[in-house]
Amino acid sequence: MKARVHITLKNGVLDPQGKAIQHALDALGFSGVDDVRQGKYIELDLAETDKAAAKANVEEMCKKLLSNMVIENYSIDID
Amino acid sequence: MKSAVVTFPASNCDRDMFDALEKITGKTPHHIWHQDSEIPDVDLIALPGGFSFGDYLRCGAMAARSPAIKAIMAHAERGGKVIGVCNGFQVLTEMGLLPGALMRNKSLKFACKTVQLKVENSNGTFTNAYSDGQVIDIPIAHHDGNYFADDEHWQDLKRTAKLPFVMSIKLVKQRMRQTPTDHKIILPVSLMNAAILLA
Repeated sequence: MKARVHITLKNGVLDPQGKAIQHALDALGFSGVDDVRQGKYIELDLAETDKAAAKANVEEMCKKLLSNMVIENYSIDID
Repeated sequence: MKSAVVTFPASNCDRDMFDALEKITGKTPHHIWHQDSEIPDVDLIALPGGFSFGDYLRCGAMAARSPAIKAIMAHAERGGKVIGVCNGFQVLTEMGLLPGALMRNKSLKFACKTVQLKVENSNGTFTNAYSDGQVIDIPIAHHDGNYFADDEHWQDLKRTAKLPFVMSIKLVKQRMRQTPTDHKIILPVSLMNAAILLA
């Protein structure tokens, strides 16, 4: 079973890397990009076969290590 | 004063910290490896800077889950003193001992210079040899020194006078004649430097 975790910065948290990407896109002529927010993508291969149990387990991983709840949100997709 | 220095893989200046503490206190500090789950009874636990665990995932994130962390937390809960310098400070926020988080510098550049801090509260353990309003020079060197706390924690820090130092942007502009860094505040950044200056 595979878990795909997206870690993103919370709304309102300044994202200087996102801003730099936005400026670079603008410089390359890609106009109309109003905002850029960047984050992390983490893929996990799990031995667990039960989807609900896998999701609960990955949720714990996100809270304990994968994300910093002060500044980041996470979302989990399991398939 | 009895002290201990905790070393993580890719810590640096831990040896400097060890020597500084030995020189100032007259007692040899304990060397603690991150996998040690017990720390001897000391007055101060010091976490050095560097790039623990290669700064993977987030600065200080892996170190904050090391076996030694539980002992550091227990020491703090007993009222023991803890200081984190640079990456050590990031570890303290990642382990939840201090509020907030340190993010990538707004400029996206590595900042390496001397900054001026105003002593906001000279009643603290780390500031009581200073006087209120005194301006001190502190060296900084970091890529992720952009302190962030949500409004609730930020207000709490201000209200409860837990901010020992505040970066004086006006003074920085006056003295350095450059734009200020991203820091809104720097908590006890460097006891080592402060202590050496006072010694």
